[in-house]
Amino acid sequence: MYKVVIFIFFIGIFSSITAQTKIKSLYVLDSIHITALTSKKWHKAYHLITLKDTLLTTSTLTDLLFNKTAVFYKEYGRGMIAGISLRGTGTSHTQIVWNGISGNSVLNGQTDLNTFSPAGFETIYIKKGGSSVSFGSGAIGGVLVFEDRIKFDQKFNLQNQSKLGSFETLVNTLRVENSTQQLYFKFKGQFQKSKNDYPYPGYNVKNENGAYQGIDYGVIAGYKINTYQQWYFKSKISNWDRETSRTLYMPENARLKTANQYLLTGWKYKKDLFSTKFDVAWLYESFSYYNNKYLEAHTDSNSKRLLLKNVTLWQLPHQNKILLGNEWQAQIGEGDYIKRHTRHNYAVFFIWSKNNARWLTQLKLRKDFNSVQTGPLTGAAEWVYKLSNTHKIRANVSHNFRLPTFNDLYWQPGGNPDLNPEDSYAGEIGYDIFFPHFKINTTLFYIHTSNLIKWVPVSGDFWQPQNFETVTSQGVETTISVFTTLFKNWTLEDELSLNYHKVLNNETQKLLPFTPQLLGNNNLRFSYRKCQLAYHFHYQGKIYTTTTNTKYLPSYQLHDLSLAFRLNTHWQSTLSLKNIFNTYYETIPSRPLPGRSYEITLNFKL
Amino acid sequence: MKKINLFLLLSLLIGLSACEKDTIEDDPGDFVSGIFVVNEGQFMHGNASLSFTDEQLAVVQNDIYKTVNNADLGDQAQSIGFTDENAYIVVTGSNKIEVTDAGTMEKIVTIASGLTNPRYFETISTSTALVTCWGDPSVSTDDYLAIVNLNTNEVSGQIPVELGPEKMVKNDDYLFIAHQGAWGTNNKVSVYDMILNKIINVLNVGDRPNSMVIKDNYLWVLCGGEPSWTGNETAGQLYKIDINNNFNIDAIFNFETTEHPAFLSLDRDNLYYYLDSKVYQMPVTVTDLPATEFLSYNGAAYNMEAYNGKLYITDALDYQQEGTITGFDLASGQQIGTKTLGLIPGDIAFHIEE
Repeated sequence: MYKVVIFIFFIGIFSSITAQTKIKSLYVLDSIHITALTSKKWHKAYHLITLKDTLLTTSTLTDLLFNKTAVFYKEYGRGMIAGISLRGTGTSHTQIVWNGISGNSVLNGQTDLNTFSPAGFETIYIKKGGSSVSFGSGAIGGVLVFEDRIKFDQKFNLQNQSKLGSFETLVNTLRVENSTQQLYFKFKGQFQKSKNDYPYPGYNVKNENGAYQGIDYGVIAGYKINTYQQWYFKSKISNWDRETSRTLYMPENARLKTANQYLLTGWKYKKDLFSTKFDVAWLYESFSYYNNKYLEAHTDSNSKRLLLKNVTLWQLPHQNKILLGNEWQAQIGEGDYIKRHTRHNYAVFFIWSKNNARWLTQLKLRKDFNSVQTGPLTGAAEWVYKLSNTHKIRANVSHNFRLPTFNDLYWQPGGNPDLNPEDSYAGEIGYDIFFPHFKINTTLFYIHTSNLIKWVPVSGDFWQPQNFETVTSQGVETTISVFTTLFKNWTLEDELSLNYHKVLNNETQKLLPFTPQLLGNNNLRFSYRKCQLAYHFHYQGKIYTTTTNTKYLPSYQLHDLSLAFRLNTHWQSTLSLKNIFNTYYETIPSRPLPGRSYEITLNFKL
Repeated sequence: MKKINLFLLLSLLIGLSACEKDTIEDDPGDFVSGIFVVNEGQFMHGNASLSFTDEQLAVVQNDIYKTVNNADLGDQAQSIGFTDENAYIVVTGSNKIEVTDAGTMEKIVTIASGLTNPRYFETISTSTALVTCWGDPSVSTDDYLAIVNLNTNEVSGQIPVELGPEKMVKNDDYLFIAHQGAWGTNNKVSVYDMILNKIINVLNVGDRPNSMVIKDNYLWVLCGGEPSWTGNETAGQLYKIDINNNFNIDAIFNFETTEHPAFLSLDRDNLYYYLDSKVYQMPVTVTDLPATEFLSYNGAAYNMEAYNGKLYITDALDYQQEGTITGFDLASGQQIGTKTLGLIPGDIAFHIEE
């Protein structure tokens, strides 16, 4: 029973940075995308971490996060279930936002990073900090935003990436895009397959039940009806079939099949100072867990969501903007351990934005009405103050929440229908310095979350979720990026990220287990003509594994090297050497990640 | 500071044992007489461990397997059994038994094949032991007893049994196997004849038989009943079975439907069991369940055993920190002490030199 629970919940317990953020003029709200709450313009008071896969060598979301950020994620072995943890919050406290739609599972409140391919999106960024007011339940630690953009720029693009790696790993990614003045079309698809039988460094054990295979694809289409109106369709479909890795001491023969479908269609209108958009989205997810992969017997669960959303924006005189949004959704979840349940949620939200030459102020309010537990009134107040063209201060405070998941409410046995939403207050203050060749961003943050839902033993081997803990998280995050030309044709780039957080259980005053205090990431790149040499360093501080802080996983540092060579405008090849020193490391006890490994990537662009 | 203390303690322990080995002939070992507690460790975290203490809970040595052998014990250690010379630590998640010297805890060999989700170990002769095994817990028909050849420390065969074999008790002739039901539920006790070397009877008892004791030719079986979360709640029951009279049921003591007792234990002429943070004492001669508790425990017991005038309760606390053992004097009902053990302390084994 417990084992099944572990997998279905892929529990996380609980925590970047490229300084790629382009600092443009602070105060222009002019894009047609403006009704998109994912637009960076609505999050000026935050340091957004834009993720760009410079060498086009990453293929999974865990890869991308590992390479580009000092964000903590927990992975149950390479390619296995993985969850992100921002600022020491739980893995269900980061909302994955797909084209403006909150994508986390209705069943477990999370998104498995290894089944969500980042390939083919034009915009990916991490926003750390409370975001419930824009993205609803679960956005306590932050959001991970993925956007497919539609452009009528009459261009044809084709990109293909093929990758071969250690442990019989094959990844192929294709992105094709074509547009006229009126029509836009994009297809993106990724296939992955790996035997994944990596040895556990220092142990006489292999990852003998870790093979996986998955496909992730989507079609994006747009039609420009006239100057003012546009219709669009976006989709993302994935199917994964994975064995589940053994631990150091426990053999495994289980298997997990997952499917996800995100479909969205919408219409937007913009004329003069008024814009509006309507979205209809359909989301489906399913899990099939085979405790024994050699048998037919398995347990299933699935959820379906229908979502209707309208966002309207008025630009008023004197640099005032008002945004009003409505979102209604129906959620249905069912499975072998969950009887069929339906939940409706209606949210209304409001934003007022005002700026002058130096100041930007945004006030945001949201109220969720839910058929099971009504969400609290949430809100945020955000300020940016421009000291000069190269310095600015930003600050924000927010009230955020997370509704109990279907598993928390209805799982049998254990589900607790009397749970209250988690309640969180957050604040941060940041200082940014941005020169063309040098950027530094620093943020101090504080998060206080109460009523945290945790599965706890109630009697004997009976576990139940309860509103159990109050947790305070505070810390500092810094990113520094440098770009310089050394000599003629020689350039050097460096991106350094450092995060420190202290996450305390308010009652015991102990550090929360499974949350590192210190995280660091550095990317150093030398380019000479058509060659680029990249060195990647990743540090993770020790992680306590007991609530009394008596046991911990040691800290580790990893070093990767890669050499990219651009043959011509069409072809580029990259050779990567990962975990050069064959370091043993794990983010979950007894679940080692690979030692030294190799990859060769071939990119083609037309 | 803590680190330094721990370091000192460790080096002291190692120094001590090294010293003894150098100087004493026929070293009886460091763990000759005392109480072993098997700490299950967290599910799939590979942090099972073994603790050792004395009857007064004066001194506890934690992590003794790792300290002696410089190796992790494995995932979900369930129980420990003994022969005259050896200890057999049954590690469910790792599908193995670590065989060690009972006195020094030095590893002799690992029994790594023929065991699928092994639970408990019991000898049936000087050369043979049986180990209850669940097989694949998602399959209800592959449960078995593994036959362990104690001379070679290998599994030499299997005896198929009913679903979910768990704890065992024995007298001179019979070994009784409680079928609690593994991931499911069951209501059987198998009777293994140690002379005929086969299962001669399967007794029907209440739902989820979780613990047994034998006193004067009577087998007492405590059945927890189906808990409420199953949606099919049944009352706990205590069965008294007459071993010499064809295993006939001598008496059944019924609990309330919402009562699910556990951890039946025997000391002298009294039975002890645990129910909702209370310990009950019941003379084996009485005809009714006790109306009031013998003592209250401030916590949630993960296991409980009585021995030699004392009662020991382990507590897993929140399952994410080291658990505890608390001892009570059975004459006075007073607590004698509490000590911190490893993660999720379960099986309590008395290996006392008389």
